[in-house]
Amino acid sequence: MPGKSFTRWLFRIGDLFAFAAGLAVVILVLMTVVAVVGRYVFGQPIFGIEDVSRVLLAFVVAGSIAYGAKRGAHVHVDVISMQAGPRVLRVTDIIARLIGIAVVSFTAYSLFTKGLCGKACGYFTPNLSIPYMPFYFALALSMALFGLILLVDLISGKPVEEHTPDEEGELF
Amino acid sequence: MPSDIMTGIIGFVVLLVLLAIRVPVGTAMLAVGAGGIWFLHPRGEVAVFATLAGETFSVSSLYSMTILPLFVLMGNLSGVSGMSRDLYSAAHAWFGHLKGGLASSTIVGCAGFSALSGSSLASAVTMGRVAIPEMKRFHYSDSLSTGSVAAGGTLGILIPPSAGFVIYAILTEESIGRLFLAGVLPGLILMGLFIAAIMIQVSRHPELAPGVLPKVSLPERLRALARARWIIGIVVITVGGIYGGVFSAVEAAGIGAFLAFVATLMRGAFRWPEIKKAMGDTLASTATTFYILMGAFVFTPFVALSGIPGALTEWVVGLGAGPYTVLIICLLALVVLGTFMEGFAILVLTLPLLQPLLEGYGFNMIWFGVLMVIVLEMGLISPPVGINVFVVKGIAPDVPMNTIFRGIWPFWFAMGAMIILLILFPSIALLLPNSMFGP
Repeated sequence: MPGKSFTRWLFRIGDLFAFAAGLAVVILVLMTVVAVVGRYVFGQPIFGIEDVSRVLLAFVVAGSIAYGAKRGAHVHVDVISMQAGPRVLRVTDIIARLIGIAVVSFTAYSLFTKGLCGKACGYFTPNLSIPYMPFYFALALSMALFGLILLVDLISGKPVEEHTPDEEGELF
Repeated sequence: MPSDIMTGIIGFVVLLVLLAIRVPVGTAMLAVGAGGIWFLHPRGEVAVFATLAGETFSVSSLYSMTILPLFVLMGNLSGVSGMSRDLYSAAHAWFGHLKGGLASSTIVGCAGFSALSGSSLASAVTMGRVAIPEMKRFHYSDSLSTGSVAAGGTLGILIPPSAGFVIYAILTEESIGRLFLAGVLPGLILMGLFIAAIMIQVSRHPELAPGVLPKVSLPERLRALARARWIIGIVVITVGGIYGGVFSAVEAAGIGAFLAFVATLMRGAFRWPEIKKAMGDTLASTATTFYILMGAFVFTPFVALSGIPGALTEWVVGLGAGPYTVLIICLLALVVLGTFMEGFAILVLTLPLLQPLLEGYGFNMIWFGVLMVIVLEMGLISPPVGINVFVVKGIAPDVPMNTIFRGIWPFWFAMGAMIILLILFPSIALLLPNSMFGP
C-alpha cells in the first residue's frame, strides 16, 4: 500500500496543476475578449494572439490531464462489469492499469525528449516564436503524474470506477 | 509477417479487447496506435516517438481547440449561476399549461441550455435537477419525467455549441462554424419532435401527466422571459455572432464564457464554491476530451498506414451497393455501436474509416456530421450503457432503470424520424451554413 502522505501529496500536486490550468482558462477567456474588441477598435487582429492562445491551451490541457486522472475523468467503456464477477474484474483492472502506466509513461518520456530539442528543432509558435519547450515539459509532467496516480490505484487495489460525470464536492 | 491490412485488423481487435477490459478509451487508442505504427512503419521506433510526442502536443496546442474549454466553462457557469433555473421557469410559463406541459418545458429548457453548453450530460444534469422534482410534484409518471430529461439532454450535442461537432470538425478538417450552424435547424426541429412525442403519449395515456397547470397570463409570461434575459442574451450574442460573421466560433466561445462570468457576478453567484465547481468540471471535461483526442491522433496514422480505409472503400464499392444503402448501413452500424460505446470514442474510432468511404460517394461531410451527431445522441439514451440514463438515475435514484428506458423509446423514435427527415431533406442542415458561408 502506498503511504497516505504520498497519495495526499500526489493529489495535492494534481490540485496545483488544476489551479494553474484554471487560471490559464481565465486568461484565455480575457484574451479572446481583448482580441475581439481589439479587432473592432484597431480595425485589425492583434498580432500573435493566436500564439499565446495555443500555448495557454497546452498549459490548460497539461493541468487538466493530471487533474482528470485524480478525478477519474478518463472514460472507459463499461460493459464487462455487467457480465464478469469481482474476481475477473480485479484481474482486468490490474491489466488495464498496467497498460495505462506503460502508455502514459512512454508518452511522458517521448514528450520530454522531444521538448528538450526546443528551438533548434523548430518547436516554437509561428508568429511570436514562443518556445514550446516548457509546454512540452508541462504535458510530460502531467502524463507522469497520471502514471503515478494509476500506480497508486494499482497498488491500493482500488477498483476501476464507473465514470461519474457529476461528482460533487470535488476539490481542485 | 502479416500483411499491413491484417495488422490493421488485428489492431482493431486488440483495441476492442482493451476497451472491453475497461482500459480508458484514450489509453487504448494510444497503445494500439503506437504499437501499430511501430509494427508497420519502416523506421518503427523513431516514428512511434515522433508520433506520440508530436501528435499529443499538436492536439493540445491547436488554436481551434481552445473552443472546447471555453464553451464548457460557459455552460458550467450558467449551471452554477442559476441561469438555467430562470430558463426552465420561462419555458414553464409558456408551455406548462399544455398536455404534458412540464415535460415539454423540460425539453425547451434543455434546448435553451444546450445553446450554452456543448455537453449532453451537463444539459441533462442541470435541467434534470430543476425539472424532475417539479414533475414529481404534479404526479407525472416517472417514465415520462425521467425520459424527457434524458432525451432533452441529448440536444446538448446537436444545438451549438457542441463538443461533438468540434471533435468531428477537428477529425474531418471541416469548419467548426459551418457545423455549428448546421446543427441549429435540426436541433430546433428535433425539439419540436420531442414535444410532439410527449403530446402523443399524453393524449393516448393521460395518466402519464395528470396534473394540468393553469394558463399563465401574457404579462407574467413576458416577465418570466425577461428574468431569463441573461441566458437568452448570451445565446443570441454567441450563436448570432457566429451567424452574423461578427466573430469566429472560437471567439464566440471566449465572449460567451466572459458574458457567463459577468452574469454570474451580476446575479450574486460569484462565490468560491460555485466558481471552483464550474472550473473543476470544466477541467475534468477538458481532460476527458483531450485525452481521447490524443489517442485518436495517434491511432489515425496507424489506420492510414494499414491501408484499411482504402481497402474498405474498394470492397464496399465492389459490392455494387448504392450510396444511400451504404449510408444507411453506416448509420445502423453507428446506432449499434452507440448501444455500448461512448459517443466520443465512436467518433474517433469510426471517422478514419467512414470519411474516405463517404467522401468517395460524394456525400457532404457537414450534413453527415449532423446525422452522425444525432446517431450519437441515440446512443446516449440507448440501453445498456446510455450515459444520459445513468445521469438521470443519479438525479432520481428511486426510479428503476427499466422505467427510465421505457420512457425513452418515444424520444428515440423521434430521433429516428429526424434522421429520415435529414436524409430526405439535406437542406435542413445545410441551409444556414450555406447562407452564411456560401455552398
